[in-house]
Amino acid sequence: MPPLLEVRDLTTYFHTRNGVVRAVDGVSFTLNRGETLGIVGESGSGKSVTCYSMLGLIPMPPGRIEKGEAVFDGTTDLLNCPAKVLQSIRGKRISMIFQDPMTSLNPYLRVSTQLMEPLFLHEKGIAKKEALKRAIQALREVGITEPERRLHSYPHEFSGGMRQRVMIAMAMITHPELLIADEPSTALDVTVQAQILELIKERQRANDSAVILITHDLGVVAGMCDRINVMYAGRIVESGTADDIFKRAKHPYTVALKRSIPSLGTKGKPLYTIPGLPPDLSKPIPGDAFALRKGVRSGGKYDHTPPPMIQVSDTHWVRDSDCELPSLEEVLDEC
Amino acid sequence: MFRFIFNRILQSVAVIFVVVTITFFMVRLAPGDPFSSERRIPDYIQQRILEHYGLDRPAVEQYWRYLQGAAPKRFRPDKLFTDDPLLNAFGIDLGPSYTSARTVNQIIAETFPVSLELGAWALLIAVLFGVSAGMTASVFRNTALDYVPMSVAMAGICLPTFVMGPILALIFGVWLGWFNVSGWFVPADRVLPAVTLGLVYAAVIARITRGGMLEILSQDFIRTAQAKGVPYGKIIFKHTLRGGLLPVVTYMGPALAGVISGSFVVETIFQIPGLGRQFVQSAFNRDYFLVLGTVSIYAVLITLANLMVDIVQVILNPRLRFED
Repeated sequence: MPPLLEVRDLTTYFHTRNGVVRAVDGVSFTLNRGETLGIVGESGSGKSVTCYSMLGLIPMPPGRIEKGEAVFDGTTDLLNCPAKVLQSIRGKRISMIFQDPMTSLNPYLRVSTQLMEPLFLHEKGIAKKEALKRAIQALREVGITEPERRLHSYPHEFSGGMRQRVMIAMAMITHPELLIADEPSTALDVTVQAQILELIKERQRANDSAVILITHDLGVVAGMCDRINVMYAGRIVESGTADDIFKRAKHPYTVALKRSIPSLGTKGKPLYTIPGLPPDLSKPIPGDAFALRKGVRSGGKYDHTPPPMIQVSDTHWVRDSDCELPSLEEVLDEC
Repeated sequence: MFRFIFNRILQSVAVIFVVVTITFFMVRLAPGDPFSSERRIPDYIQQRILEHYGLDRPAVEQYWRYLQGAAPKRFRPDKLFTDDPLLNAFGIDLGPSYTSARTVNQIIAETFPVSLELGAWALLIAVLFGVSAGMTASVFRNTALDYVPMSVAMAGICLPTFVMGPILALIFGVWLGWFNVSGWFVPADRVLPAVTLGLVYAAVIARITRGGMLEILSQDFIRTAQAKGVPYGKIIFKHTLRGGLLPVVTYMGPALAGVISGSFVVETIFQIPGLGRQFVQSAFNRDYFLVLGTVSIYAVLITLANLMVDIVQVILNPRLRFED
C-alpha cells in the first residue's frame, strides 16, 4: 500500500518586490495512514507554507510552486493536478484547521451553514435533514453541549476554544484521511490548549485519520506525534521519531530548540534562548542556513555547498552541520 | 430589534424637529423678506400683506403657529390616494407660498414625486453599475478588468454633474438623437438625467465595493472556505459579498442625501419640474414657508434613509444584532 502522502523536493518561492523569498526550499517527507507528523520550527521557517502549498492555498501571485510533487494516496499529485481535482480533495479527503479560530470562521454565516457546507459540496445529493443530523453529531463529538440549540448560532456567540472545536467539527465532518492542523492551539488559553490537542487526538483515532501538526512548540509535538520534522529557513534539518528527536537529537538547531523548552530547565536558572534571527530568505543561501545565525560558530565546512542529509538510523535523518551553539553564559552576555 | 427601531424613530423625530427649528430662524436671519424683491408698494399695503401672513408678529409666535400647522394631527388613510396632497391625510399644513398662488402642500405634492422618481432611478443606476463594476474589479484585481473600470470611476468622481449633464445631452440628445435634450414627458426622458445624477455615485460605489470586497477576500475565513473546497464563485457570492457590501450600505445614507441635493443641478439642466428647483428658488425668494417645507421633506427623507441603512446593516451583519 502506498504511503498516504509522499512529498518530494517541494519548493515554493514568493516573488515579491524585494526579491525572491525562498519560503520552502526542497522539502521531502512521507506520511503513512493514521500517522501523526509534527512539523516544528520558528516563525518563517516555512512550515505553514509547506502545507498551504499542498492544498493550493498559496496566494498566487506572488507565490509560486517552483518544483516538486506531493503524491496523495499514490495517485494524485496535489501540486500538479487540475484545480477541480484539488478542490474535490480539499475539505473531503484532506481537511485543515487554522491558528486563529476568532478569524477563521465566517462571521456573516451561521455555524450550521458553515458546518454543512463541506457535506453539500462533497457528498452531492445529501438531504438537508441528513446534513443537519451529521452537523449536530459533529458538534456533539467535539464536546459542544446542546448542539441542537447552538447549531444555528453565529460564530461570535462562541468563545475562542469553542470556535476551534467548531473548526475541528467542520474539518472532520467528511471523515478526511488527512487533517492538517496549523498551530491549532497557539491562539488559545493554556488550559484550553491541552483540551483542543486532546480533542484532535481523539477525533483522529475515531476517524483513523493521519494528522500533520504544525507548531513552534516542541512540548506540543512531544506528546502527540509519531514522527517530527524540524524545519529551519525553508529546509528540513532533522527528521525522526519523537524519541529520535527528544533523546538523540543531532542537529545543533534541534538541540537549541530543546534546550529552550522552559519545563526542561532547572528552577531559578536562566532560560536558554537561541540568539539572533533566522536568515533573510530573500537572499540565496548556498550553504548551511544555521551557520549564518548570530552567535553560532561554524567551522566553515558548508559555507558554499548545501549540507547533505545523513541517515543516522532507520527512522532518523539529520542535515550535516559543523555549527556549534553558544553557551548559556555567552547568550546571557549577548542580552 | 423592535426596540432599536422604535428608538431610532424617536431620534429621527427629534432630528427633524431640530432641523425645522434651525431653518425657521435661519431664513429669517437672512436679509430681506419675501416681498422685498418686488416692485415698491405703499407702506400701508406692505403692512397689510405682512399682517395677512402674520409676519408682523414676534418670530417666536410665528414659530409656534408654524409648528402647530406642520405637526401631524390625524391620520386619514381614505385621503392617502386622492387628488389631495398626501400631507393632508396627516393633517399637516405647511402654510402658504408667498410667491405662488398655491400652498406649500400643493407644490410639494406636484414636484416631490418627480424628484423622488429621478432620485430612485439615479440610485438604482448607481448601485447596479457601481456594485457590478466594483465586484468585477475586485475579482480580477490588478488586471485590465480592474484598472479600466477603476480609472473610469476615478474620472466619474472628478466630473461634476453640471459638466456631465450637458456632455451627455450633447452626445445622446443632439448628435445621436436618441433622447430628448430636456423635459420630463415620456419615459425615455428619465434616462439622461438619471444617468447624469447616478454616474458620480456609481463611481464612488464602485470604489467602495472594490475596497470592501478586497478587505473581506484577505480575511482568514476565506482561506478556510478555500480549504473546505468551496468553488471560487461560491466564495465570492456566499462568503464575501455580505461583508463586502457593508461599506456600500453605510454609504447609501450620504449618497441619498447627495442625490437629493444634487438633483437641483440636474433638474435645471434638463428642465425637470422637481422639488430641487423649488428648493433653491424658494431660498432666493425668501419664501419662508416653502424653504421650511422643502427642508422638512428632505430631512424626513434623509433620516428615513439612514434608518433603513441601519436596519439593513443589522440584517447583514449578525455581530450587530442584539441579544434578547
